[in-house]
Amino acid sequence: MTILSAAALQAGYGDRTILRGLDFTVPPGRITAIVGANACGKSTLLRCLARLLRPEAGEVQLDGRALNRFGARDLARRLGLLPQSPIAPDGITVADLVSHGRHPHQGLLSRWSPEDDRAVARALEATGMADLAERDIDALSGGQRQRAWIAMALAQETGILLLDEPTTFLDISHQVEVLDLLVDLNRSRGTTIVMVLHDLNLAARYADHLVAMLDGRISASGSPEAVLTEAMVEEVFGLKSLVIPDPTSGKPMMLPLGRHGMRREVAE
Amino acid sequence: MTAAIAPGPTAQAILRRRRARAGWLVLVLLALAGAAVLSVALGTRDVGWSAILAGVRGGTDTIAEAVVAVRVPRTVLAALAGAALGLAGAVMQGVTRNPLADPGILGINAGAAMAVVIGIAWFGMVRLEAFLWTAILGAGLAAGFVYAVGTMGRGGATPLKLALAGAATAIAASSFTVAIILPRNDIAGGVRSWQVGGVGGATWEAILPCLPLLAAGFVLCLISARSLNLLALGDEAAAGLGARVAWARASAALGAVMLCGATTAICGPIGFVGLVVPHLCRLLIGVDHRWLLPFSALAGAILLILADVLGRIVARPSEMDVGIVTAFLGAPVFIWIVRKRRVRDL
Ligand SMILES: Nc1ncnc2c1ncn2[C@@H]1O[C@H](COP(=O)(O)OP(=O)(O)OP(=O)(O)O)[C@@H](O)[C@H]1O
Ligand SMILES: [Mg+2]
Repeated sequence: MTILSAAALQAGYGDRTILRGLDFTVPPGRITAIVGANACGKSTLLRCLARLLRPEAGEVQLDGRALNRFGARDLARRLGLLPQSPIAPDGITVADLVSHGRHPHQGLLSRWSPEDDRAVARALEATGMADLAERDIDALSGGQRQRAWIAMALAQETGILLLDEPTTFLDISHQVEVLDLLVDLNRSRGTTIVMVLHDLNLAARYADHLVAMLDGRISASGSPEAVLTEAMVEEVFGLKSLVIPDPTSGKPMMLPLGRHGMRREVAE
Repeated sequence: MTAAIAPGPTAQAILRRRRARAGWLVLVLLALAGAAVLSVALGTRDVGWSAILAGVRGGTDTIAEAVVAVRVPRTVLAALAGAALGLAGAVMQGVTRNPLADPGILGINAGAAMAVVIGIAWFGMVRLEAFLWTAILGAGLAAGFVYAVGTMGRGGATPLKLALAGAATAIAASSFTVAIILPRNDIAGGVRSWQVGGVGGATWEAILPCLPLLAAGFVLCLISARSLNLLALGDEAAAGLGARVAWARASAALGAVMLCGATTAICGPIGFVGLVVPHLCRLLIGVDHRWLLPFSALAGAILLILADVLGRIVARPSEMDVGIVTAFLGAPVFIWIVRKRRVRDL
C-alpha cells in the first residue's frame, strides 16, 4: 500500500506563502476528507501532494521517495488527481474524456489495448455514465460532467486518488451517489482517497479520517468524532454551531447557528 | 491473430472514427494533388498541356514551357508554406488553448518579417541562411512578447487578450518595418514583400536551405500531438495525467515558431492560414491532435496553393499576392469564430 506524506511543507504562489510548515501523512487505504474555509489552502495542499506545485521548503514523499524523483507517467500511474475546476474541451465525447485517463498507462507508441478498453468500460459503469458515453461533454449537465471527470480519474486506476471538491455542481442525491461510489472504490480496490469537501456533515459521514485546515495549517485531524466539534467549527469557520450525533450514521452532525431562523431556546 | 477479445465500446468507437478519418485523408490527398495540378496549369498566361508536361520536366524551350517551369517551385513553396502555417496555427491554438491563435494574428509573422528587415537594413544581411535564423529569432521574440503581454492582468491569457496583444504587436511590427524600408530603395524585395507575403518568384535555391528547419519544425510540432490533447483539459488535469506541461508547451511552441520563422523568411508574412485551416479540420475530423495536426498541414498546403492560383487569376494580367487573398478568406472566418459562444464566454 502506497504512503503519501508531506513534511514541514511550505508552499505558495510567487512571494505569497500559503502553506506554512505543514506535516501530513495520508492514511493508506482510507478515505480522508479535508475541510476548511475558503482560501485556507486546501487546493494548494492537494497541488503539492500531486506535484503540481513545487514546495518552497519541506518535501512530499511517496513510499519514502521524494515526489520529484518520479517520472511524470510513473507518478500518474500511482497517483490520480481531479482538479477543482478542470476544463472540458469542445467537441469531445464522454468516452474520449475518460480514455484520457489511460494516458499514463500507454507507452510512447503503444496503441489502445483491451486492458485500456476494460478500464474505461469499468469507469463508465461505476459512475453510471455508460449510457452517455457517446454524448458530447458540452451537452451534459454540470453534474453529469462532474461524473465524467470522476470516471476519467477512475480509468487512471491509481492507488491514490486526490479529488478537489468532487461534489460541487451536484445536487444532493448525486453528491451522495458520488461519495458512495468513492467508498465502493475504496472498499473494493483499496484505493486511498483524499478529497476536499465543503459539506462538513457529508465529510464526517463518509471519511475515515478528517482534516481541518486553518490559514495554511492543519488545525485538527483524526476521526470525525474527534475533529468535528463545536470548538473546531468555531475556530476554523468562525461559526457557532450545535454538533449532535447523526441519527442515520452515528457520526457527528453539525447544525450551524445563525442570527436568524433559530428557535428562541437555541438562540439564547 | 490471438483469439476473440471482442472490442469494447470505446475500441469500437475508435475503429469507426478511424475509418471515417481515413476516408477524409484520401480525399484531402486527392485535393492536394488536384490543387497542385491547377497551380502548375493556371496562371496569368494560358499555356497548353504539351507545354505543361515539358515545363514540369524542366524544359524551357518556349516561353510557355519556361512559365510552367517557374510555376513548379512556386507550387512547392506554396505547399510547404501552407503546410507550415496550417500546422503552426493548430499547434498555437492547442498550446494557448485559444481558438483565435494564428501566426498572423499573434504578430509572430510580422515579428519575423521585422527582424529580417532590420537585419537587411542595419546589418547588411544578404544570405538566405542568415534571413532564416533572424526570422526565427524575430518570431520567437514576438511570440514571447505577445504571450507575456496577453498574460498580464487578471484572468491570465484569455483568447481575446492574446488576440489583442498580437494584433497590436503585428501592427506595430509592420509599421516599423515600413518605416525602416521606405527611405531605403536599395533593400531587397522592397517594402511590399515584407508587408504582404507572397510565393511568386520562388526558386529552388530559396527553398532548399529552409528544408532542414522546416523539417525540424514539422517534427517538433507533430510529436507534441498527445501532449496537446492533454493540455486541452487544463494544465492541472494534464499534469495529473502525466504530461510534462511546461516542457510540452515550450517544445511545441518552439516547433511552431520555427515553422513561422522559416516560412516568413522566404515568403514574407502570410496571415490567416493558421487560423482558418485548423477550424475547418476540426469540423471534418474532430479535436484529436494526432489527426488534427497532420490534417492541418495538408489542408494548409491546399489552401495556400489555391489562394495563390486565385491571386493569379483574379488580377490578370497582373497578380495579387497570396497574403492578400488569405486575408480576404480569413477575415470572415475570424468573425465567425469570435461570434461562437465559447470565445465570448472567455
Ligand atoms: N494560482 C494561484 N496564484 C496565486 N495565488 C493563488 C493561486 N491559487 C490560489 N491562490 C491563493 O492561495 C490561497 C489559497 O488558495 P487555495 O486554492 O488553496 O484555497 P482553498 O482552500 O482551496 O479555497 P476554496 O475553498 O475556495 O477552494 C488563496 O488566498 C488564493 O487566493
Ligand atoms: Mg480549492
